[in-house]
Amino acid sequence: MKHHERELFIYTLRTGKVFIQCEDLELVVIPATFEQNIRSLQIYNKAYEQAYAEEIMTESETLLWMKEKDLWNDEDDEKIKGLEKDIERLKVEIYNARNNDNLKERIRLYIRAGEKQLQEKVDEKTQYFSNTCEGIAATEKTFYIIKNTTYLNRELYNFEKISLPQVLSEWQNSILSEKQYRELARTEPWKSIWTIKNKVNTSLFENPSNTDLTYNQKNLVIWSQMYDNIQESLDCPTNDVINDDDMLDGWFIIQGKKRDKERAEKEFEDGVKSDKIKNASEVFVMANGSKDKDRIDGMNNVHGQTIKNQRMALIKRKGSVEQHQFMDEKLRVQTQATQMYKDHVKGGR
Amino acid sequence: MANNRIFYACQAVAFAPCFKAHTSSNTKIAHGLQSVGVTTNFNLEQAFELGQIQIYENIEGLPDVEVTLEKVLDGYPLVYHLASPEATSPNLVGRSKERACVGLGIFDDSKDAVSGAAPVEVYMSGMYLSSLSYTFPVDGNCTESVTLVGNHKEWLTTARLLTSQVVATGQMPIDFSTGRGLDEPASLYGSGGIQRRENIDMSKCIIPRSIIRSLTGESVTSISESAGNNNANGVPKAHIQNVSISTDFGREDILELGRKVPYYRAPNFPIEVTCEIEVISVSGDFVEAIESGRPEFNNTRNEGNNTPEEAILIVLDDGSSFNLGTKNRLSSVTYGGGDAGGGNASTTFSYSTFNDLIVSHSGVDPANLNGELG
Repeated sequence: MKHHERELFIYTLRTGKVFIQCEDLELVVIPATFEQNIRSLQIYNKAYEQAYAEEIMTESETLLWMKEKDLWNDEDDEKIKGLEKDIERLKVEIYNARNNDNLKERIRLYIRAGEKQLQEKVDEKTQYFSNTCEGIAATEKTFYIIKNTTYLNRELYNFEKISLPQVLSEWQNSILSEKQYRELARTEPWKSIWTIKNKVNTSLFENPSNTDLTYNQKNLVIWSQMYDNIQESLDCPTNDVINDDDMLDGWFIIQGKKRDKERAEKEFEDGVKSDKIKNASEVFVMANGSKDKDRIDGMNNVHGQTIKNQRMALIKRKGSVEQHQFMDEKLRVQTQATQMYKDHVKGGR
Repeated sequence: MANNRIFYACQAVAFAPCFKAHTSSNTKIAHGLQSVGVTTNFNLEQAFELGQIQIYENIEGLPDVEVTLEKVLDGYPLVYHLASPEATSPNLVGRSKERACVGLGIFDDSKDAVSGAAPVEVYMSGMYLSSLSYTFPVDGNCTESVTLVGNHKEWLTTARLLTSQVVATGQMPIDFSTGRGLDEPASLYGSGGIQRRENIDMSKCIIPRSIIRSLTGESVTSISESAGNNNANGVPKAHIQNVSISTDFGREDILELGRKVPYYRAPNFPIEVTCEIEVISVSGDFVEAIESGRPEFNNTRNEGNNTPEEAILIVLDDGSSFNLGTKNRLSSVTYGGGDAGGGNASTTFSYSTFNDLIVSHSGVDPANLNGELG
């Protein structure tokens, strides 16, 4: 985004309003009041119940129906999970390759390709959402909001020249993407407004009274706070990483995993009374299902994980392995022998 | 804390008697296990010779395998009993002679509960009991920690203990339609599930007289040594916070010419059994140390002594009991707490005895040995 584009976004966003220019009209969608939000939710619930009574399928029922009609299956769900994992892994890789420009850009291409595939798959899964109870209710709710918050020349608009769905579509286009929030949060003109907000006692947003923050406003604040937290982190990454969304996501994932590992280790240390178990070279922790298994596996450092992988590969290859046949044990015995030899030679002097 | 320890997610541990074919009837899966630690050490001895600085031979000794298992007390057989499934007497001597095979199953991570044979099993055979520890805390679950030692450990892809037949015996119940595990504590109904402070059956426990004396100030000789620590209204007399019982067999290898493995790993008798009881202090410990012995013991078999021999018995609702016999001696008393921060003052009484610890678990002990309840 260029500076003047960002300026327009920020000043529009600070008013809380959405300005829609269609044909020769200039419509303004203002934020809904709390009362209007309550009413819209009541409309949602009523529309949902009515749709349900008319035997329209819910979101989960639609998914079952899609599975019955072979429009969706468990493999597709697995594919979504796999793509999410792949993107996560690639983001860690791009962070690790932060000093290698060529590799970094190559990984970025894979990330974009993965995101595209994921979006296609998610779109495929949610293609019938608008026909579900939830979809119908959500449309009713949004129609109510737009109808009651769209003004032309300070008067509620009657949707004669421009239809309600058309205004709704324009309004939806005003919702920024995550990439845009992040860029706005870390760049001027917002960055300085955010920094000085407490010092000069200025208000960030000029919303009409009795209204909540808009979706765009909330996200901008969340990302601004997030960037503040990153700067305060003990492991704060460089500006190159902060300014690159993919690399910063990789940093988030690494930090998150680090915290999970520390938490799991602390839980283990607190939960196990026996020092013999705590100090054992192999610790077997009882796992309840696959999530718990991931948590336990995550307690291993890179060295431990590598040893585990090496051992499992050998066990699978040979079928039966004695402890001393593991490569890490061989290395340990060799190190022990070397140390004993050193001690012997030094002792002889 | 070891820096280079490796964590494995394990989902089942099984025990079977040694020197017998492992069958689905003699292989028992342990329940309520929390964690297991395994340490393997390879012992080296180096030989040198005159005439060269290089090593003459690196002689590998016996590998030491030590496995420690921690379990909550939940009505299922204790690890101590599973590891001595064919003991002929319930006391330490009888149990200490036993050897067991242990299998740790690492199952498929996509399953909620174990079913079928373990894809990978860590198999340890000829394991001797090495140490035991039981804790009954005021805050938390009652736990058992058992250490076994041996010299043999294998990693297998064809399970020897956690076979599909053993898993199919229903020892680990599962809802096959959903794949969800249905296992729950055996002592769930009427006896408190996992045993906690409220499951210590004080009406059947025997608390040392010296602890009762610290609360009532009565003469030790006038306090009866019989089961029951409850007042008439059911409130315990002694306000006990924590009890821990532990013992270490201190095994020594007995070797013989003609083979590398030990002929036997003998327990180092006499085996000391210690019991620590922490009590909220209401009026001091009342333990006196008099040069010529406490006068109240005159004309008794404890004449000239400051501490009498005392009985200790802990009984839980799940049917397990821990009988330390009648020859426990107070070895130390520690008074602590009661600091400026408002903490409670507590007294820890440490008792010790030798070769006497009968751990019973009526009805579920694989060896079918029910010890006396004092």
